[in-house]
Amino acid sequence: MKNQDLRYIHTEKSDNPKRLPELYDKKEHCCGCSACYSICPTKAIVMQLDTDGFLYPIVNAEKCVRCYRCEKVCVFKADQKKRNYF
Amino acid sequence: MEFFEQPEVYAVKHKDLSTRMESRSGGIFSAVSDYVLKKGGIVYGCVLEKDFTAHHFRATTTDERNRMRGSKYIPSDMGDMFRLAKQDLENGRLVLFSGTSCQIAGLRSFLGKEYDNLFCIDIVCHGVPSLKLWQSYLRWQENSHKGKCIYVDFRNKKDFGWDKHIETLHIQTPSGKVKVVNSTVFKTIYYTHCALRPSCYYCPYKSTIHPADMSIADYWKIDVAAPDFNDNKGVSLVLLNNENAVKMFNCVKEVTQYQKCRLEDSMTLPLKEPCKKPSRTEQFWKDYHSLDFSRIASKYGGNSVKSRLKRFLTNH
Ligand SMILES: Cc1cc2nc3c(=O)[nH]c(=O)nc-3n(C[C@H](O)[C@H](O)[C@H](O)COP(=O)(O)OP(=O)(O)OC[C@H]3O[C@@H](n4cnc5c(N)ncnc54)[C@H](O)[C@@H]3O)c2cc1C
Ligand code: SF4
Ligand code: SF4
Ligand code: SF4
Repeated sequence: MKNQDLRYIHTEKSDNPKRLPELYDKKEHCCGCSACYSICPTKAIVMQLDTDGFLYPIVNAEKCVRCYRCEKVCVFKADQKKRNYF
Repeated sequence: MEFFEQPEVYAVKHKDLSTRMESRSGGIFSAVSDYVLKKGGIVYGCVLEKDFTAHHFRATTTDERNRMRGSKYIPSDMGDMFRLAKQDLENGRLVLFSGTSCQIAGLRSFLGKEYDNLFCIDIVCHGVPSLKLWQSYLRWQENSHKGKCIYVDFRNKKDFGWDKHIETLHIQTPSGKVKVVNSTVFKTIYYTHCALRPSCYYCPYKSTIHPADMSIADYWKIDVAAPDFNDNKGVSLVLLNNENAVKMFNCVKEVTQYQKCRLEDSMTLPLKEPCKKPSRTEQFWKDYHSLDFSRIASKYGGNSVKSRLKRFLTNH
C-alpha cells in the first residue's frame, strides 16, 4: 500500500470483530480539521502528512474501541453532502 | 445562535496605522483580539514557527497574539488546540478562536454545544497549498542563495503595498551576510491552484454563509463598495453573520474607521464557489514528485528563462 493511502495502522494486532471507522473515502472529503483526532477517547487517531504534504487522520486499530465518535464529529463531509459535493 | 440569512457587511481599517501594516488586510483581527485580551480572554490562531511551518497556538498576551498576524499561505496544524479551547470554555474563560472556515466548523462540531463565552472568526480562504511544496521551495531558495532562511513574509505589504503579492525571504549566508530575496515563485504556483488540498476544490463554505460569527477577508472590491476608502495599506471585508458578531463589532468599532457596504458590491470567487481543480493537477503532482524544484519553478512558478528575461528587460 502506498503511504498516501494509509488509513489504518496495527490492524494485525486487533481482534475486534467490529468494523473500523471510515473517516474519508476520497481525499477531497477530508479537510484535515482534526476534529476526529481531538474527540477520540483513546487517542487512537494520529494526524500524518501524506506524500503530497497534507495532514490526514490515521486510525490505530489496536487502540480503537469502535465508538465511532470520530465519524459522527466529521461535519465537513456532512456539509459537503448538503451542497451536493459528495 | 440564529445565523442571519445574509451577513451585514463592513469595510474596516484599524485607526492605528502600524497595526494595519502588521496585518494582512485592515487589521480587524487585531481589533477583536485586543478587546478579548483586555477582557482577560484567550486568543487562538495560526503562528509561524522558527522552522517555517504553521500551527495553531493559544495566546494570552499581546506579544503572543502578534505572532498570529499576517496570512501564512500554508496549512496550519491544529495540534491539541480544540481540546485546550474546550477546557478554557468549560473554565468560563472568554475565547476567541480564529482559523479557516473548515477549522471553525470542525471546532464547533467537536465542542458539540454552544458556549456564550466563545467567539469565532473565520478567514475567507480559497484554499491552502501543500506544506511539502512550501518546504521544497524554501530549500530551493536556500540552495540558490547559498544560505539559511531566517525570516519569511508570505506577502510583503510594507514594501510593495496591499494589492501586490510578493514573498520576501531573508537568507543568511555562512559569512553572516543577510540577503533579501523578493520572489513570486511560490505565490505563482499557489495561484495555479494545482497544489491545493484536494478538499478545497469541494469546499462547502465557499458562499456568503460561514460557520463563524464573523468572517474576514481582503476587501478586493473596495473601490466598488466604498470608493475613496482605499489607500493600498489594507482594508478588511468584515461579514457579521449573527447577533453575536453585531455585538462584538459594536464593542470594537471605535478603534477602526468603518463603512457599511452592500454584499452585492463585495463579492469575490471564494464568497460564491470553490476553486476549480485545474486539468493539469495530476500532471503537477507527477512532476513535483519526479522533477528537480528548479523545473517546477520554471514550469509552474513563472521562473522560466523567457519570463526571467522579460522581467529583466522591463525592470532595466
Ligand atoms: C490560506 C489563506 C488563504 C486566503 N485566501 C483569501 C482569499 O481568497 N480572499 C481573501 O479575500 N482573503 C484571503 N485570505 C486572507 C484573509 O482574508 C486575511 O487573513 C484576513 O483578511 C485577515 O486580515 P486582518 O487584517 O484582519 O488580519 P491579520 O491579523 O493579518 O489576520 C491573521 C488571522 O489569520 C489567521 N491565519 C493566518 N494564517 C492562517 C492559516 N494558514 N490558517 C488558518 N488561519 C490563519 C490567524 O489565525 C489570524 O486570525 C487568505 C488567508 C489565508 C491564510
Ligand atoms: S473530522 Fe473529518 S474532515 Fe476533519 S480531519 Fe477528521 S476526517 Fe478529516
Ligand atoms: S471509533 Fe472511537 S476509538 Fe476508534 S478511532 Fe474513532 S473515536 Fe477513536
Ligand atoms: S478552502 Fe475550504 S477546505 Fe480549503 S482550507 Fe479553506 S475552508 Fe478549508
